Amino acid sequence: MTSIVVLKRRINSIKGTRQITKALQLVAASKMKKAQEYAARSRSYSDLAFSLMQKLSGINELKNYVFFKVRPIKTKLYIVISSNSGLAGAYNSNIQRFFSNLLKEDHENSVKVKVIAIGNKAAHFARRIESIELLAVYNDLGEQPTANDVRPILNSLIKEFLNDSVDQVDIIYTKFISNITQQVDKIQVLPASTEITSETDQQVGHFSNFEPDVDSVINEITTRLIEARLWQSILESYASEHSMRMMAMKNATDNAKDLIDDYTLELNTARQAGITQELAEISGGVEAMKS
Amino acid sequence: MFHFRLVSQTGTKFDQEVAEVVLPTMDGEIGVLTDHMPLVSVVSNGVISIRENPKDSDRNMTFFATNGGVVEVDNNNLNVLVDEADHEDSINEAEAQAAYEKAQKLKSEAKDQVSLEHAQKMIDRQAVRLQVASLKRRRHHK
Repeated sequence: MTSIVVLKRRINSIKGTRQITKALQLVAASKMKKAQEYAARSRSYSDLAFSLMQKLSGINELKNYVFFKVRPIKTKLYIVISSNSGLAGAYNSNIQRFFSNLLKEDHENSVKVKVIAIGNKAAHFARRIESIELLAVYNDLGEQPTANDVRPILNSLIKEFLNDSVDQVDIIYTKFISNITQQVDKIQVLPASTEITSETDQQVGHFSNFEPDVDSVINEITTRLIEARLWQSILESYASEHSMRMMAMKNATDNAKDLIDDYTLELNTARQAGITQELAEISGGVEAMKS
Repeated sequence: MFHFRLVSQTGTKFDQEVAEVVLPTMDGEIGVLTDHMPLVSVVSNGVISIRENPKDSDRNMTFFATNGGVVEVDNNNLNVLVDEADHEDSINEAEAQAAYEKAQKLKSEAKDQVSLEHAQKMIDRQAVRLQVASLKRRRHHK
């Protein structure tokens, strides 16, 4: 049986751990609330932006426009959104697994891969793989980035696409579904024309009027709409990250409590066993003196 | 009457049936009335004016200060997506004036192209806010 001193030390150490995880849990919970509100606020903007983009991509005369034109894919650019720090449960490993599968697919199709990493974890992962060209790392967007903060990322992805360095741009992010459900997902932002549903098919040709002219309107609009999607996926990812961190820390706290209970029970048993043994020894001694 | 939705990056700012909307676009102001032709255009820095009822006078129009975005008219639905839209009631004229002067100062101190552009953007934005504030004030004085 483990000695009483060892058990006491162990219990104390777990109590310390529990305090830390509890504190992290509370911090994550408050950040989660803010991140969720923030993501929800801009959702109507990005939803509307997306539906407009869908309508535009259904117009025949725009099919050959550079933002919409589908090219044979030789190089892909992935924007991978992860967190800066760990201890967020499966958040980063989910992204990593999802991304690895995509890489495998691209490798089989001999597609070259470039990456823009948001968050240190994605950067670490991308650096470890030789075939990936890591273009940039953004790790200080802040807790609540504005659309302005993502503009440098937007500019570089559009530049890469327009000068033919990449033929497709995808964002890998974690979709926030609810406090307990988050899902890694991929959205294609460029070329902007793939997702055509039956609903949008009916609207083909509705927009024949562009003011002042097609070129300037399409440029402005596509940029704005891609920006909306990029921004929204970053916000969704943040909300997911904080939710998962909170859940992970809550589980750790609960687990610490269970461990403390177990060890306390063991400690009590050990102490009781000690007392029983001492009593037995005393009464044994008394019996010996009698005879 | 047609449906007008004004959505900024921080949420939906206006969402109801209206009679007339005047928007600042790259080519100058456009007025949108019922049965407007389908249109996609770019909104520039300026004031969005809304007439909610056909009988409302110009004095009763609602104003928003905006700094650019996208407009879509389709089948009596007007959707406007902008970076920012400030309702006239949310603008404090004194604050806007102070911010405008601060932006002017920033511009005069700007050393490189990036900060100059940034300052200019702030000036444009505050100028529109001031414009909306003065429209509101004028209305209250009448």
